[in-house]
Amino acid sequence: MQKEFKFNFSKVELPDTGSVFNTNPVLQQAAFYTRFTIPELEAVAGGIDKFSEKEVELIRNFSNKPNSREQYSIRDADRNQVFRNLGLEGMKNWLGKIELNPTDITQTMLAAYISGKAPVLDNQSLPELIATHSISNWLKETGVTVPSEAEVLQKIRQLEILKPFQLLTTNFKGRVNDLANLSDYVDWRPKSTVTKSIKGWFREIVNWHDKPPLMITGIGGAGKSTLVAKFILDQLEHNSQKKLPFVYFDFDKPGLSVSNPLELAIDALQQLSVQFPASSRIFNEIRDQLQKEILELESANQFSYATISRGSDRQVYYEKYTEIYAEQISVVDRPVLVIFDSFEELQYRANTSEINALFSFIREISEIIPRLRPVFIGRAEVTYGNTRFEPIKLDGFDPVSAIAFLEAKGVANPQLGEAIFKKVGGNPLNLILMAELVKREKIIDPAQVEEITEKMDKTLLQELLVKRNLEHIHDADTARIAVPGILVRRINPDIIMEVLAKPCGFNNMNEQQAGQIFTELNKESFLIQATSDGISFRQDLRLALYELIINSKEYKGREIHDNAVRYYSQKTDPQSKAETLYHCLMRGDNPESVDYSDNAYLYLSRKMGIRASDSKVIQASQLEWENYQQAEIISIMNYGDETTLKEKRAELAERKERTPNSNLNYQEAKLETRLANFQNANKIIDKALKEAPSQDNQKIIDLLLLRVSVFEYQMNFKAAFDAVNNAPILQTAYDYIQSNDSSHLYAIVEGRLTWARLARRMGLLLSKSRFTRHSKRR
Amino acid sequence: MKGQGLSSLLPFPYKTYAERLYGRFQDGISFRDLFVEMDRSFSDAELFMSLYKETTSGVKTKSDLERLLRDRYNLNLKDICEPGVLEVNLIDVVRFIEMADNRSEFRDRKSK
Repeated sequence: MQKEFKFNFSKVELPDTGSVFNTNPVLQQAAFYTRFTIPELEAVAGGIDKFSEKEVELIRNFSNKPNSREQYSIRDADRNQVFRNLGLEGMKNWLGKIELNPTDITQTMLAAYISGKAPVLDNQSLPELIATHSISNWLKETGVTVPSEAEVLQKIRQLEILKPFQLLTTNFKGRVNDLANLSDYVDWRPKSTVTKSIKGWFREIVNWHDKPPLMITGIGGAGKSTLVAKFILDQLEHNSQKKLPFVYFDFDKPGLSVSNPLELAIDALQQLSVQFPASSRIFNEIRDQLQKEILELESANQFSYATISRGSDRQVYYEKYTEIYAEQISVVDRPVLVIFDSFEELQYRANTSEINALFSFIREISEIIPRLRPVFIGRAEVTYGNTRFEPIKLDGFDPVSAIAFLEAKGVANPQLGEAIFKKVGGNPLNLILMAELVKREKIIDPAQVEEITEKMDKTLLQELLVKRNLEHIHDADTARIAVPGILVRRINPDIIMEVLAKPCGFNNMNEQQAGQIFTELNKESFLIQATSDGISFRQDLRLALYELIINSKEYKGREIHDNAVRYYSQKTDPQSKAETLYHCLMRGDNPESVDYSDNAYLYLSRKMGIRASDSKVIQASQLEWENYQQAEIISIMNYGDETTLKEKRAELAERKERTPNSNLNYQEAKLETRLANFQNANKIIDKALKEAPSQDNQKIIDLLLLRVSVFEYQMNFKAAFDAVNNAPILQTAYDYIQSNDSSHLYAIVEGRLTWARLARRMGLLLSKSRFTRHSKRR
Repeated sequence: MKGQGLSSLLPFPYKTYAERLYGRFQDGISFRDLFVEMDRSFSDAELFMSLYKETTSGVKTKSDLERLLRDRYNLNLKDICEPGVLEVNLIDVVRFIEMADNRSEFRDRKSK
């Protein structure tokens, strides 16, 4: 602030009330400053050295509570009153006399609005928009043209959606081919080649069934999310008149659930509403109605057993909304990009049925909006039943993107970056380790890169780079823990103390020491990565160093696995169970000894409710395959829908062989029943009953009940009733319950109900001995 | 088995029926009470068939069935039966209706 403007405040008669406060010059000048201390304002107010008590009181009366630095700011409503009284000319007059702080964006924007030179909203940065938001209130009805608060807020929300993408792509360069592939898939801009252009013409009119969703895969740090972020930002730049709608879901964020995909739809509508203000009324209308209906149903049915929504209940919404908004949907003239980032997190978190529900949902929506373009971003290629993906695999960085990546990691000199790329290639881990080394060893000359890498055995490049980086960790204890400690996946002070301390040579580590090492490890970004539930050692680094550590006499890798098994096996949460199994397998335990049956992979999938990849399922032994399929059908019965039933049936048909007395028989027959393939169901039941050991009451009851149910679904009540009568075991629930024999209770209860229901169907009185009072109805 | 959650041992659609009738924790309700209640609601074949015809008259698709349940009982299909084709789900729904339509608790809900 400069002391150019002189005004003799001492001669001003200060008003006692607020009614005329806005004519006071102290307040008028204060209104132009975003924040000020009393001395700062005194410094720019000419004619006096110090404000009188009354003047200070006046400022205090019309200001918000001062912040910790004793800075005041005039309240919005009072500031507006001051400006309204001044009018446009009055404000311009003041602007000519005072000098505003050029580093204060709000002041600068205020001046720009008053002088009519403010940039349009589309050209404002986020800080400028935030300033405009305040100014729109201050200058309301003052004669100055300002955007409405709602317009500014809308624009702020738009930029906030893009902010994470902008942060990701700060140093983005290269990846031209991958961007072109992504662009061809989305079918939005002119194709990258003539052939693709011809193919693209067909693709524009097809949906999910003909055009599989895209799966971008690559190792951690390869820039998968960044590629998509760059693509989205590019679309906005190139098509400012016609924007590409996009929806972004990041499964790395806790709380994003797919159990009810309609909730994802609500989120998507919110995002689209921000991107397309002109249509926001429709988006918000659908969103609000959907939200209300889902909430109403949820609150009415707190007992709901199948929490995952089914295709059929979603269909009701589709029909309703496509009818109401038929006109709007018909004019969707562009693709809608839907990104599912960190898909591996969802695979870890959600069960098969939830993921299937998500795929079904996307398929259903693509029927309504054929140009829906789902893009999944994950670490590994996956297949889910009939769902196939169009893959884009990001291997290493190309030279341009590698140099940009190194720049982001602190290697600013492009020549140095080029030398690094030449020596270690585009592998992100190599680049990270080299960047770390360059910083730690203060390397500035590309020739030094040559020197360092020349001595290194190329097959052990990553190990050697890590070792060399470790030499620079200041805290020796931390370095001792880091390698071989990287053998464990999760890391926290408890694990350092209980699992790693002894094998790393610490005989009496206490909690404090473990806590300190953990804090130090946390600082080593080349070793650690953040996960949704804390931090862990980098997976790529573990993979790179595993053989070195486990085979080296220097490290006690085996002991670490032993400790980890001991540590995790005492815990009961699913994650700890998974860690126990992981360390058991890694130390080479026989799968049988860790409660495995024939195939460890399928066992894990089944135990943890994870969908196994098709190739693993196909390779599985017959017994494990049957156990896996049995678990899958149970899951579908609980959470699936007609489509998943049909898909499972097709999958089962591909492998016809069954072990004698297979447990899969019952589930398979049930699946056929639910699909109304009654003949098939009966065939399976007959075969299963023949194979079932006579003493296996449970299995026999289940199968008999299923046979009865098949007759009932065919409305052949006589046959159903005969089947019950021929199996007295189905009628005896009450006896079992009374005798406290509660084994097989579920089947017995069902048997009792089936018997009573069918007796009724046949118009019979229920026996007096079995809870009676019944008479023939009608 | 008195006390809680008897309905967890019941198959669809009876578990939904029991929970709506008695709440999640069926305090003081025994299997005897439950069976008596349910036995009373079962229809004979003729009545069941007429209920089936009545229900199917306006139901041509799974969505129609979902809408019927939602409008009349504030329920989704997944609340009363396992997944299946329309032909099978229709029977599941009629089984639920034969129980529910005899109870004022469900009629009250329908009128809401």
